[in-house]
Amino acid sequence: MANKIQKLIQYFRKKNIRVLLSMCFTFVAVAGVLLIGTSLFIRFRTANEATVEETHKRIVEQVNLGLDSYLRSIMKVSDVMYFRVIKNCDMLEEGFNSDMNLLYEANRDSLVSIAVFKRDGSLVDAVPLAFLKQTAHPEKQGWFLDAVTKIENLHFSTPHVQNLFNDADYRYRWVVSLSRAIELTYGGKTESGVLLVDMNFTGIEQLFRNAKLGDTGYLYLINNKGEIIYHPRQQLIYSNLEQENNQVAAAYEDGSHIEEFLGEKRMVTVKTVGYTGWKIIGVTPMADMWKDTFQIHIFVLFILLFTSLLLFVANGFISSKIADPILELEKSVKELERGYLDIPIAIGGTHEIRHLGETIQSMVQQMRKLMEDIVIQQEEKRKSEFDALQSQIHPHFLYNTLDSIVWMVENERYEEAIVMVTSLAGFFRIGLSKGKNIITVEDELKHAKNYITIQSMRFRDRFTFQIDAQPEVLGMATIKLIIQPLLENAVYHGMEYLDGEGKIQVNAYLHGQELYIDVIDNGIGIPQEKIEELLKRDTIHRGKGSGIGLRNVHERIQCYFGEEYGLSIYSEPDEGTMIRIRLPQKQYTEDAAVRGEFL
Amino acid sequence: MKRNSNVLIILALAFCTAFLALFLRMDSKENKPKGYVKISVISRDTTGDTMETLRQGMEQAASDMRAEISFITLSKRNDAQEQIRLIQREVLNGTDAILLSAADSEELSYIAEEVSKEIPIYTVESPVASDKVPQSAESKDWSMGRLLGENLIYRGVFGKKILILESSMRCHNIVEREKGLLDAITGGRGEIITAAIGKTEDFKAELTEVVQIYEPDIVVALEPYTLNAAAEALQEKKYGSPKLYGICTTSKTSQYMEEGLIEGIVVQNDFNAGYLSVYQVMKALKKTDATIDGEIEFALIHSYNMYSSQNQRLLFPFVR
Repeated sequence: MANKIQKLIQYFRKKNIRVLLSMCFTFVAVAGVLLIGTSLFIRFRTANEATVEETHKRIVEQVNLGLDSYLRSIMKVSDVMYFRVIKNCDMLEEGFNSDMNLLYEANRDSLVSIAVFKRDGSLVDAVPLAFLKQTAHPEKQGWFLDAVTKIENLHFSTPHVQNLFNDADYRYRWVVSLSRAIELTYGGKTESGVLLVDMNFTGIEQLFRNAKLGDTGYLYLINNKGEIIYHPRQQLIYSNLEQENNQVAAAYEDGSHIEEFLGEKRMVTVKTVGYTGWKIIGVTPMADMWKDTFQIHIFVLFILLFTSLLLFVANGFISSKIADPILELEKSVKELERGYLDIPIAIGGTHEIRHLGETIQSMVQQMRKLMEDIVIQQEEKRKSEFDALQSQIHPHFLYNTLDSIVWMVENERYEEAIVMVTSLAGFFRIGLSKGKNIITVEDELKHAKNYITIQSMRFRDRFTFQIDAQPEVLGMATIKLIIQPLLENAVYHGMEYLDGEGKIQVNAYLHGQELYIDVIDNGIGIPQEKIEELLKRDTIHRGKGSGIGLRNVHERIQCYFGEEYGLSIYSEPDEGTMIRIRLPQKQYTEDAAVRGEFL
Repeated sequence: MKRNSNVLIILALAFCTAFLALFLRMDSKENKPKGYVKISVISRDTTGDTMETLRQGMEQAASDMRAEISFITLSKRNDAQEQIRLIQREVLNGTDAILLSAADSEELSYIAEEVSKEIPIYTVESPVASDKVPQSAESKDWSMGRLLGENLIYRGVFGKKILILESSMRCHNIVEREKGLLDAITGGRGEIITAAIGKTEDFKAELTEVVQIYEPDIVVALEPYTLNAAAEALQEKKYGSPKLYGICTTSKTSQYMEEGLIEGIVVQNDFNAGYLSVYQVMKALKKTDATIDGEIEFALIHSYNMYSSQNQRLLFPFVR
């Protein structure tokens, strides 16, 4: 059980906030609806039961009144017969047949016979049939014995077949006998006897038949011992095809009771009939009580289910309204986590969620700015490092050049010294460029020419050089001091160990959308594996020919113009090397150059 | 989200439609009057007297289970050919089921078997000689005959002539009664005589003749028709004063017993037999959900105990 609960908790934990909200809302709402529905249902059921109970009580009461009236009328017949006829009649002087007959005729619908017997059971008189059967023994019958043993009372029998008189039509009728002890007068002397009034069932049957308790409910009548006097399915009960709970019902007090009989729950309404002690039992199966309201129940059930469905939909909508902005925000945060700082932050929903979104957006903007600042700072730092590196080149070069100039002057080679000094001056003038990093290609080529001129003089014409440029290239912008390191590389690594005449060629030209400056030498070339390592930033080299100059140029270009620009090295051993500078075509402007930017 | 909403709306509509359909169907089902099942009951007698109580039971069951009973009697008693024609006619007329009291158990077996392929056919009181045509209730004819025989033995049959009136002997139930009776009285040191009657329309004359020939002390009739005829013959003093016994009853039988013309009868609960026969038919037609386990009890009744609480319920069904 605990395991299942744990699994359930885990299941819900995996669900998103929208599902959780929707399920919680729905659960609470449906529970509320069910609670209200069940309360109403129970209330309705109780009220319905009370109504049915009240109705059945009223019906049973009406039947009781009718039965009481009917029995009283029969008792009245007995009273009249006894007190008005028999008591006033001396049997030796006159009979009472005519009065008895009159009384019978007046009540023939309710009566089967009226008979008077002596104490020994012999017939005194009877209507409408006057002759006893040979086999008839009234004195042995229950109604007779009741009358003579309890002389003060009137006695109602249970139903039995009337078997006293000869009937030419072979009719055997079920009757209920009313008997009482009487005193017959014979010549002034009294003699005890029994008066019998046999009721037929028509009256009782009509009373009960007309009273309906729902579709399958019914009424039956029992005596105080629980013996059935009337039942709508009397013969079926007598034949054991059906059963009735009459023995138990005999013990019931007046009022309504719920009983279970043969697996069926039913409401039993009991009413005791005044004088006789008989009981009228109204039986209504509980299932029948709900039969009429079954459709209402189904309808209520439908309403409950439909309301639950609507609540489910409404809750889904509401939870979606609440949760969706949160989910969108979470999605944005996930994108941020993946490093996409440029994606827009989802801002929506309620005030609180909007505030949260706006705060995150503000934080992202600040973070982005901080990161950009860090990048700029890093670039600046790198540029500074490059510039510092670049400035380290000059002292060494200056020393060598001045040394060469001194040597030229000492040897009275004034012309050459002048050229070298002039070149050196040009070299430094352009190199300084008033502190600007951005210069025209023309200046950069001049700078390169000054450098290569000095170097060619120093190396005593071991190589020749040529610089060519398309006229439209000259006004383009470039960062300064990018050709000189390439030339330096060509001189020191290409020419130094070259046996023949060296040649260095510089070409500047436009191609496509780019500006290219190729530095070509016919030196010893660079091995392929070294080419691949030369421009890598993380490669550590030591000593001469470490390629630090080339990488410096390459990174500076990328730093200023982007990753797609920079150097490309093409080399064949013993054939030569071409280092190509790739730059964007940007027109030089003074302002941009001062700011160090390219437009 | 929109797709989910659409699905929910469709679900809600489907739910409402299904519920409405169920609701309307329930309503129409409740208000729709159920049809009556037509059951034809074909007697082997010319009047309904001998099957009166049986009929009352059938009618009570018909009323409880919404059936319509058509009770058909013959123009001539135990006429098997007429019964065959009546069965064919009832089937043609579209009856839903047949309850048959076979006039001739052998002769009617074929037609009953054929009809059983189309509609339910059950036998009541007198069966047919076929396993394919069931009896509506378990036969207790042998036991009833035996009970009567045991009573005769109990009352003493030593040196007495016992005349068994054989009528309707083509009906297996009557044969079973005789077998039960003979089983009990054979070896009882009485003289057992069997005499076939019913060859003519005048039963009384036949009975008088037979009695005059055999001068029995005890006469046993195996069916109420013969029993009543014997009682009437006795009443008219057409023969001596043998003690008359019989099996089954009519209202006249009770009267004759009270008058001392009949010594005793074995009576079965015909009301139950009738009720259960209709129940079996309705069950076969699947028109009732009721489960009824009824016994068809029987009892030996004499004039002195016929009004006991139990016996009067057997003899005089409480039917209004």
